[in-house]
Amino acid sequence: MQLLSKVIALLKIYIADSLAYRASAFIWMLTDVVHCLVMPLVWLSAYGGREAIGGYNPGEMVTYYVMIAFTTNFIVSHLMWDLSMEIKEGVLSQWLLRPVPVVWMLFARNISWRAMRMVLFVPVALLALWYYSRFTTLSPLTLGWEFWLSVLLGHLVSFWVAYALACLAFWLQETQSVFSLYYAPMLLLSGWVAPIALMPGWLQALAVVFPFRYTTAVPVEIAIGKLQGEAMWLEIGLQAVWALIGAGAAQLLWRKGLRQYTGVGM
Amino acid sequence: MKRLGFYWRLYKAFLRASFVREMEFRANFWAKMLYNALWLGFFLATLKIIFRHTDSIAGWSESEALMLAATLYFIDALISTLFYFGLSELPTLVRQGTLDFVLFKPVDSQFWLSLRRINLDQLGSLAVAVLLGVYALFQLDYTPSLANLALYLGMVLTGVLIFYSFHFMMMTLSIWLVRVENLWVLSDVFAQIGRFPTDVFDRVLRRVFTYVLPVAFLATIPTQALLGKASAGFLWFAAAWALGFFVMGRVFWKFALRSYTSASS
Repeated sequence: MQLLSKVIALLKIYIADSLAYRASAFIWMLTDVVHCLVMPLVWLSAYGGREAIGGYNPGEMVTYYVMIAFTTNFIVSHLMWDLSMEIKEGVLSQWLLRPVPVVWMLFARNISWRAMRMVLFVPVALLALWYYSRFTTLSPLTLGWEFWLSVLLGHLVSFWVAYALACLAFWLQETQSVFSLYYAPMLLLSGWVAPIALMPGWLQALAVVFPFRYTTAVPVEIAIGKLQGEAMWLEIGLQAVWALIGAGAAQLLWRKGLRQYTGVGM
Repeated sequence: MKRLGFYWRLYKAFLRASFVREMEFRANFWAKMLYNALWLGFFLATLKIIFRHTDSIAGWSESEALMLAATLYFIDALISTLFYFGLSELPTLVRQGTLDFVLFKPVDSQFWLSLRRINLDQLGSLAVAVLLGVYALFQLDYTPSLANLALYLGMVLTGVLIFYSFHFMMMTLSIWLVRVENLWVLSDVFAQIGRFPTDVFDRVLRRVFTYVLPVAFLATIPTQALLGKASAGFLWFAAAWALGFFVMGRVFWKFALRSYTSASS
C-alpha cells in the first residue's frame, strides 16, 4: 500500500515535469509526423496499379506507418541520454538516498514522458488518417485489449533495453557515440523504416534475434490485422520473454555498476 | 573591401582553432566518421527496401533517387561542416546570458555565431556523398552536359543557402524559447522531408514544399537540373528564393535580438 502511494506520488511529479517540457515534446513529435506523412506517400507512388506490395495493400501500408508513429511515441524509450549524464555527474547519489528504489523513479519518469507524447500524437494520427482516407480505403484497425497488452509489453522491452544501455555510463567515459550507434539497427529492426515483411530475408532473420521487433513492430502488426490467433499469442509471449531478459540484464548491470560508482561531486 | 579582408582573416583564425580542437579528440573524430557512414548506410538500406518492390517512385528510378539522396547528403554534410556546431551553441548562449559577449564584439553577430566552429569530422561524409553521386551517374549511364552540371552546382549552392537560412531561423527561435533544447530537430525534419523526391506529394503539398517551405530546392530540383529535367529559368527563381530566404533570416535575427533580455545581467 505504501509502495502504491509512493508510485502515485512519483507519477504526479513526473507528469507535471513532462508537461513543463511540452514544447520540446512537440518538436520531437514532428519527426514522427513527417515520417508518417512521407513514407506512405513514397510507397503509394510505388504501387503503380498493383494491389499489394509484399502482402500489404495501400490501405494497410498507410495505417502501418500511422500506427508505427503512434506506438513509437509511447513505447520507444530514450532514457539512456539523461540517465547516463546523471550517473556521470553524480546526480544519482541523491536518488540512492531516497526511500524509493531508483528503478521505480526511472520507470515513472519514462512512462509519464511517453504517455504525454502519445496523447499529443492522437490528433496527429487522426489528421493523418483523414488525409489518407482521401486517396485510399484505409484498412480497419483492431485495437482490442490484445493490442494494448502488446503495447505495454513493448514499452517494457524498450524501457529495459534503454536502461541496460544507460548502465554503460558506469564504465565508459564516452557513451554518446555508443548510444547514437544504437539507433540505426533499432530503427531498422523495430519496423520504423518499413514493415519487416518487406525487408530482405537476412534482415528479417536479424529482426527475430534482436529485441527491437518486440517493441513496436508486433503491436502494429496486431493493430492492422497481420498478426492474429496463435501467431499473435506466440509473438506476445516472445515480447514477455524479452521484457524479462531485458529486466534481468538491466538489473544485473545496474548492481554491478553501483559497485563501481564513485559518486562524482559528493 | 577592407572589411571583407578582416572577415576573411577572422575566418582563417576560426578554421585554425577548429582544426586544433579537432586534433585534440582524434578518437572521437574517427568515431564520428564511422557514425556518419552508418547513417548513410541506414538511409541507403531504406532506399533498397523500397526499390526491392518497385522500379520507380513518382517517376524516379532507383539510380535517380540515389543521385537525389547523394545531393541531399552532400548539402547536409556541408551545412554540418560549416555552420552546425557554431549555431548549435546559440541556445546555451541565450540560456546563460553569454550571448552578451558575442553582441559586444566588433563583428557581425550572425557571422560569428554561424562560422566560428568548423566541424571537420564531416569531411569524410562530403567525400562519400560525391562518390555516391558519381556511382549513381554510372548506374544511370548518364553523362551530364557541362551546362547541366553548372546548373546543378548553382542549384546546390542555392540549396545550401536555403538550408542554412532555415537552420539559422530555427536556432534564432531560442531567443524566445529559452527552455527548448531541441530546436535543431526542426532542421533535421526539414531535411527529412527532402530525402525523397517531392513528386511523391500531392499537388497542394508539392506547392507548399516548393514555394512556402522550399524543401524541393534542397535536392529534388538540383537533381532534376542535373538530369536535364529542369529549365535554366528555374535557377534564377531558386537564386531569388535563396537570397530572399537569407535576407529573411537576417531580418528575423535582428528582430529577435530586440526581444533578447540577457538572462544573467
